[in-house]
Amino acid sequence: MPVPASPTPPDDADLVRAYQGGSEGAATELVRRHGAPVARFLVGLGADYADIDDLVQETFFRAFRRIAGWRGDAGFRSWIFTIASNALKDEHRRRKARRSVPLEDHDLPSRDNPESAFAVRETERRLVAALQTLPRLQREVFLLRAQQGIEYPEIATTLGTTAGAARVHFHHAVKRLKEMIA
Amino acid sequence: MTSCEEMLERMPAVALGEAQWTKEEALHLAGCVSCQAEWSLIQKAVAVGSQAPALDLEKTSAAVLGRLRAERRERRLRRAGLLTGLAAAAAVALVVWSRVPHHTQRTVPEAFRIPVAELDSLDNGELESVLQDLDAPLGAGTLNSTPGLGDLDDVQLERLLRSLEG
Repeated sequence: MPVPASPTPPDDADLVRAYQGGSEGAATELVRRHGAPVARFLVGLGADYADIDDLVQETFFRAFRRIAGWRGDAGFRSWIFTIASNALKDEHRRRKARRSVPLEDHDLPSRDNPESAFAVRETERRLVAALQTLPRLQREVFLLRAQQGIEYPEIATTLGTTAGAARVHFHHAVKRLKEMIA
Repeated sequence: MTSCEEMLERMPAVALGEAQWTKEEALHLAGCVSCQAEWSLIQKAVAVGSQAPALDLEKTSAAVLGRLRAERRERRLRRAGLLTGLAAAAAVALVVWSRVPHHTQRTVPEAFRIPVAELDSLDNGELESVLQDLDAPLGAGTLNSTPGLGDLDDVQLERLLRSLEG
């Protein structure tokens, strides 16, 4: 007799357990769910568009390799963001000596409505550049809260701080970014 | 009344489409320049990465799983290689050990065997006496008291003579 389909989709913890039990499909579902937010988070941290594919892959590779390290006290997504941040940091360290800025296709305005695309890209570039001037913790708190909508208690657990401190970091970041972008 | 701080706390959820402004909040936003600047900033933060080329997540997942499988295979091979190495080392050690002569019974080499036929005729008491004399420490006496025939008593001299005569 076929097993009736579950009315609610499995949550991240269910998928992690399934992956640990040998289900590769569960891993694919986790990548499908969190791949795009991880990519946007990485762009916010200053990753080049050209590197996003590799960085997302590296992030999930590291995550699945030490999946036992996720104990569920913070959300899976928050946990994976910290792995992404570390992967980017390692990548920056590797490239430090041979830093070059190639002009990639995606740096050029797109053919449909190039002015609008260029304007969006320019705004994004300014914000990302401003974010790089913030201390790492402040930058990550800002992105987790503003870009991903994660609540302070979870941010605190993920980044190893308190909810109150995360809130202060967020407000400081907004104040400084507002001054820089305005 | 809504404060600017409360407005900022609500902004991410509204920007992500998870909530909507209340009437009061919308009024506050319309009249507050500071909140408008913050709202614009949060919207920009949400839009960061929106221009990035879309990822092929199926491909990403397949690549990740492929790497994980390759790593597991490599680890298994390494472990198997290590076990094979250990087994080979143990086999070599066993072969070497088995070829080395093991002296379970200590035998005196021919070169060190000195035939003293005279001692054969001595009984146990006499042999004991000779051994005691031989076992006396070399440096036990002074230079002037080097043992000589004169130090032997009559019984000992008799025994020695008998042993020499056969």
